Amino acid sequence: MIGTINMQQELKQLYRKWPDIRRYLKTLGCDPVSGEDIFQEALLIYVRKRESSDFELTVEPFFYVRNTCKLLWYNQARKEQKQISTELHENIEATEDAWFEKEMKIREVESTLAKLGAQCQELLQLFYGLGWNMVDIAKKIGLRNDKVAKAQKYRCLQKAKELIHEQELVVEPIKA
Amino acid sequence: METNWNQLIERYLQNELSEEGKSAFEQELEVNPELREEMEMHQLIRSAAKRASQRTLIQQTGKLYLRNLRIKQLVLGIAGTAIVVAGIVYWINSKNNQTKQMTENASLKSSHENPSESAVRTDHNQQSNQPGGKSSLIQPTDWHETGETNPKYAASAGKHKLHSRDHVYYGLVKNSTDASADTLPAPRPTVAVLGYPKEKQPDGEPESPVNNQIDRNMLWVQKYDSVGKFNDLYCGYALVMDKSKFGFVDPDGKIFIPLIYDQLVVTTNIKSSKQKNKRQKKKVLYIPKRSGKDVKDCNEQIMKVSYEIYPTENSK
Repeated sequence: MIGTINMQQELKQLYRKWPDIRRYLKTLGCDPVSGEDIFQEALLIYVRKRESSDFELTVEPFFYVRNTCKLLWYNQARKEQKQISTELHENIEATEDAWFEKEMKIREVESTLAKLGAQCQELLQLFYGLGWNMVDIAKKIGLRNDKVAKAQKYRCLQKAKELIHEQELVVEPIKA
Repeated sequence: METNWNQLIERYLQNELSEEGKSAFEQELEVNPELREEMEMHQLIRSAAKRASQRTLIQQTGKLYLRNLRIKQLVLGIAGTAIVVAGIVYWINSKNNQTKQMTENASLKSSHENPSESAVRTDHNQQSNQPGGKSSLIQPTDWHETGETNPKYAASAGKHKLHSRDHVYYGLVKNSTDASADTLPAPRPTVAVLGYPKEKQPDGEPESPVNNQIDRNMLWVQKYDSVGKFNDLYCGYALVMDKSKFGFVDPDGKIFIPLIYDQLVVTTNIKSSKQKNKRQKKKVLYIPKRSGKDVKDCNEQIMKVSYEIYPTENSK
């Protein structure tokens, strides 16, 4: 929990630099709407990197985020341009193997989780994302006690799994 | 069965299982591909949930940032407008003060100049009388508090044996009509203008009849708070004020129009002015406005007549 509070502080610090990054992205030809998306995506990457143990920050967070923004924008711009790069894209996919596959799966699941009820989403996010204990979560989302919250969590998990299975059923024929 | 697995996986991942259970679970994991798949799925969900929480955290931070920015801008804007408004108000105030001071200075100046330059003033009077405008009728210079003592005057009065006369009247009589009604306090320049150079020389005899007249005038002058000049525009009568009531006196100090009026209106059309002021509770004295050659050939009766024909409703 302490970690998340620190992270929030850090994010606030970084967000104060948002005007700078917006200006920077503008010089690269990025429109303000997708600019903010890119910035948030870059922050997400930064947060995730910070949490993995083998990540060592060699530059200031601001420069890291700015660079990530630049790369993300280049990626997006390339995608937007034409389908010429599809060949290249596939090559990249091939090289990035397992990590990429897992990344894609996580994204898929994440979008599936968004289909859950609001309470389920909050519960899972608080438990897995922020590492709250069940007592606090129960208080926060208005459940009677931690036992109820725990049961609710299993129900949510079950529901999520069902949703994912459904998705796979739809996806599988394309795969085959 | 699946639900059980759910719980088991969860507990395994949370490190809640006992050593025994843990090893049993791991064994099961190795032999049961279904459980492995389930396990994978579970981990996927966990990381996805974590990712989602990070995303919401970032979005919250973004919203917070934007909100703070808006509040900051709002506060700055309010503060800015407040400063601007305060500045404008201050500017207007200072400007008003300035003009007030300027007018005060001007009136002060004119009242200072008046006594010392009576000669000039007589000329000036006649000039200002010519146009006969409303503004020229009642000027601030028309009024002199009799209580106000000018050192110069006190000195000259002393010369003329006006013992302990602090209140000096220096209004002018309309010289064309009544020369005998000369009410001059006899300071040098005024006398010269009126054309009595020999009799009223500054070092002239104090026993001159003029002085007697002044003495007599002084007495009635003292009765009033304020006495105006005997003015052509009022047909040679002088406006007097006592206890904020207006009236007119003739050059001998006799009351011509009693002092019962709160307001004096000089107008060309008495009827319409009366109509306008009908609602007012004040007693209003209406005086016909005269201008140009009217002023010169003053019909003695004009004042009286207008007063008699149009007495205010409130007068007895």
